[in-house]
Amino acid sequence: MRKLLLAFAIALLIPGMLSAATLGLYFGYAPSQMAGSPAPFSFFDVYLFLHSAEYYVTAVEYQLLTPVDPSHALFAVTDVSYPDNKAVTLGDPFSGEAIAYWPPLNGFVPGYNVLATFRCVTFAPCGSLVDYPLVIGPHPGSGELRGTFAPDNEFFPITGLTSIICPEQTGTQEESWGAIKSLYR
Amino acid sequence: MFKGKVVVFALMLAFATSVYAGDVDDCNSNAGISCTLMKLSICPAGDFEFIRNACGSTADYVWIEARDASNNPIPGIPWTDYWLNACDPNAQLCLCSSPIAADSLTGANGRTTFSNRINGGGCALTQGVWWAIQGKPIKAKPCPNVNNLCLNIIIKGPDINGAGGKPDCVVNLSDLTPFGVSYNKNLGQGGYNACCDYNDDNACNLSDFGFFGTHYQHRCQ
Repeated sequence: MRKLLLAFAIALLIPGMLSAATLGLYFGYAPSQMAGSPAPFSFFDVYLFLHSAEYYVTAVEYQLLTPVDPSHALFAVTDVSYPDNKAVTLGDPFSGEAIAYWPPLNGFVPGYNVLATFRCVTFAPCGSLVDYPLVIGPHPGSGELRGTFAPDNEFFPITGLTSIICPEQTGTQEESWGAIKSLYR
Repeated sequence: MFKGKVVVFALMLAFATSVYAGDVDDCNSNAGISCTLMKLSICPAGDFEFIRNACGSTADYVWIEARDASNNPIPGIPWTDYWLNACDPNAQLCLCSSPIAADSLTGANGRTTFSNRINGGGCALTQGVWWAIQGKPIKAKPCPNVNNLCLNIIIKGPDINGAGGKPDCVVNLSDLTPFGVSYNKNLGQGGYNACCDYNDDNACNLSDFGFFGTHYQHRCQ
């Protein structure tokens, strides 16, 4: 009986997780790469992708969160650009931004949309920025990370994602890899 | 003899003109709404909320009844011979050249209805809206009355600011500023502006911002 309930719960949970809209920063013009190691003092673009929002999206609100310690100063967004159907924006990424689109973004095909492009720069090599997180969180004004959809601008929830600048590279020593392989011989 | 006939004819013509059945009397004419309170959002492009949806249903309307000085109904008044504005002198709307059209010519009973959208901007939260037929605002009852009849309608819209702090029939950056001040404020909070709450949920939030974005840069057609 317990197994049956567990299976039922998982069956309900998985489609819900799969269909939840997400908002995150990606290091390419496709929502696949969420980590990057940019060279210091050179500009690079990260793309704010809304994924799996199966609506005609009219607006979103979010905040870009970075570490509050001094390492915050080692990363900057120098410019933000938007797709042509951006109607109007309020605020900025770091203090909370709302962006309205018209005509609405088609969230059905291909299943994701670029909401904005951030031109960024880092002021230190990766050694000083290891695992530097770029977190998409709720807008501080509403306390919500959400979007609205046409025609009546009703709300839908969004799950914020975390991207990483300078992910820590864990090396694998030959001898330890051999030890691991030997476990399976 | 001929001169006398001309005078008589001229007098008849003048008399006929003065009692012309199409001459609207602002006191005998009347107007009303199909519900107790309408909340209507408007845009200069005439593409915001329908009057028929302004009370929460899909079949509401403003009605007028046009009557002449003899209290006879006036049929056949054209669709566009109407005007309106806010009764609050401090909340005058900006209206496009033809801000509202009736659903039909006035019928034999002098009545017609309005269920479409208003082309204009502004925000009138109190005191209601007056309606005019052929340039004559309908007067409050009972007659005679110097005051306009104010229909219980609240009007909101994204165009709330322009030159002189008045709506200018363009939704642009001058309107984004007051919207931004009220953004993510709820009724009772400092800074909340009911003029920005287009969906009437007592909050000026992302949903209203979505509407604002939809109508951004709209103007009279």
